[in-house]
Amino acid sequence: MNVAFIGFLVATGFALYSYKQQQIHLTHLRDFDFHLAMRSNELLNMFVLQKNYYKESFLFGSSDSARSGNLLCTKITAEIEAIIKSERSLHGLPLSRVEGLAGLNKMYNDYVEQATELYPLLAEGNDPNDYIEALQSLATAQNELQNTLEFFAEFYRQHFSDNVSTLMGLTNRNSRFLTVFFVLLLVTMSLVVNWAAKRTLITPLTHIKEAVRAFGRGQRSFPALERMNEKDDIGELGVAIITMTKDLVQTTVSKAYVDSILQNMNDSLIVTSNTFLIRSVNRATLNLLGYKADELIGQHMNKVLGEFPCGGTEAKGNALDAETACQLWSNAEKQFLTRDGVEIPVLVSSSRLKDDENADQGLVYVAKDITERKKAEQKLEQMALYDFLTGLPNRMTFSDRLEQTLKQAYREGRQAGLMFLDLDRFKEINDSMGHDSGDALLQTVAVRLISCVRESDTVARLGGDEFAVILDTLHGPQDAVNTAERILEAFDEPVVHEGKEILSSASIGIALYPVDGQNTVELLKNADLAMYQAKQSGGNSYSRFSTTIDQG
Amino acid sequence: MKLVTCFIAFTLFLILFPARMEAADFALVVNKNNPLQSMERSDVKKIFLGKKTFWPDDQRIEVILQTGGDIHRSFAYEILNKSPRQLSLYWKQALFSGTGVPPRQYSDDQSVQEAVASNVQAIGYVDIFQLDESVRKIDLF
Repeated sequence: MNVAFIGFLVATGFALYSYKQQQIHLTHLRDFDFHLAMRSNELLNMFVLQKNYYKESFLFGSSDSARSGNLLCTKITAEIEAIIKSERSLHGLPLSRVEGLAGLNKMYNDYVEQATELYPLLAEGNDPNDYIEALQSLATAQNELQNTLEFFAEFYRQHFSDNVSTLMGLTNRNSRFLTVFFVLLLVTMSLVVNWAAKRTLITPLTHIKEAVRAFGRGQRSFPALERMNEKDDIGELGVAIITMTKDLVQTTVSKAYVDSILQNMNDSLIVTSNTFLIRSVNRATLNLLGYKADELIGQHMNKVLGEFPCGGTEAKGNALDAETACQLWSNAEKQFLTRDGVEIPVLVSSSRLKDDENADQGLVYVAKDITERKKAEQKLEQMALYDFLTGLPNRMTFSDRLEQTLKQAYREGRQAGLMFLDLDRFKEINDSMGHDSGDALLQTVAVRLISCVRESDTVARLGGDEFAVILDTLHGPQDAVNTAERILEAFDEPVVHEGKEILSSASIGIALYPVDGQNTVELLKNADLAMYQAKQSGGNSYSRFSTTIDQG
Repeated sequence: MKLVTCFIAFTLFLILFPARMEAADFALVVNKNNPLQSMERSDVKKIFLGKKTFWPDDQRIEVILQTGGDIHRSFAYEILNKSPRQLSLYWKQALFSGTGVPPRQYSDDQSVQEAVASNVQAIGYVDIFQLDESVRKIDLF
């Protein structure tokens, strides 16, 4: 910039100087050289004209011509004087010129003196032969004058031409100099601009370009950019790029982080659109259901959920609000269908996915495989309701069942029966043969009991060696008796455990509904009494409740 | 009428084209002591126009002209290719511009012959029929 300015100033200064020079020259040319050249030429012409007038007057005897010739004298003299005056006003005039002009002046005056007399005379008719000498001297003077005037005219013309040439040369030189100077300036400027551009623009931009490329290749730190001065625009760009890359790195890291979370979490994650079409699934989902990702994406959620209580199985436009509301659960127990059609119990929570403008973008399902828990639950339930050793309903269950049976029997107006069963001398068997044998005995008894009763009947273990049988449908007391006898027979066969035979028997008490009891409490009490009686009578027998026992 | 016309035409012809009269009725004469016998026409022209001013023996040539007349006219036309008027102007011009002095002029043949006879450097022209022994005639070629 500065260089250009200085260069401009120099060029202008020089231009002004040369212009001034030229002006001086031109002024001189105009005021002197041109005038002198013009004047001297004019002088010559006038002289020749005068001479021609005289000649005409001489040849043709014309007095008018002679007069015309004479008239020119004053003009010519004036012209000579003007020239002399012009020359005098110049300084440093060569002496020869001064003398020359003075001589010219004199020469002309002398000539004119003679000519103005002679020619008119001859024109009037006098015989020229009388004036031959005069004529000849006049002719000589004439020639001399003409030569001198020609000389001066030529001299001044040449002088003028020379000065013009000098001026032209000067101008040429100046313009050439200026041209060279400007070209140099241009070259310098372009070099300077090039250098400046390189420094302030090209190099930083190249750095930026390379940084961006490097970023694409995976580079994450850019020392070249950090060195840039952030005060100027390019520097700001560099800083912005560094910030961007850092943010991008963070975001990428975050994304990788989030992706990692989603893929590594144990629970299944399914994202669907507003129309319940699966958009994405995590690895846990694929593992759980045995699908590949492309087999699920785009499919309707009912492929996984099976039942789809709301919105139907077809995708409906922008199914929001009421449609999706029914799919919003929190820890709901549902079933997922695997690829093989197996149902897996899952705990599902779902929520609406919203974007930045809080518009619905679909649903997110998070499901936990609760197969194990369900199994545990079942197991627990099992354990709560059934006897561990024998697998028979325990006392609680039995109690429940009895109530149910009685209710049913009451409703249907039919009979039902209850049998209490106690193993004889169980304690002794346990003590003598060990607890293992005792357990084996109990288990076998359970099995045999079941085989003795109908499917609709219930065999329960009330505890220890106590069993109960609920006879669901009785046609009469005989049915109960028959069952009891069957049971006693079953006890005849010994139980084998670890090579040892275990012989046992049971005491059975029978109470019938509604005859022996109107409700569970009564029935239970009376069946118990009946069993006690059977035991009192030595065991291995059955006894029907009768009012007499109660009174006993 | 025809005759008059003819006569007028003839006269006009004579007036307008006098130079067509080929008959050289003039004779070029020099002094008897001048050894010259003949001269080229171009040389004669030069002499009478002042362009050749010296005899071979470096003596100045004295040119004698006539002031007018038929002989003068025919000489002027034939040798100098000028009319008498043109010739007169020529010499005036020469005098004016100092390139030459007009030669002497005589009005008749007799004077011319006398002048030539008395001047060994002289040269002139006269009527051929007026020619006498005082001067020598030179041939032109």
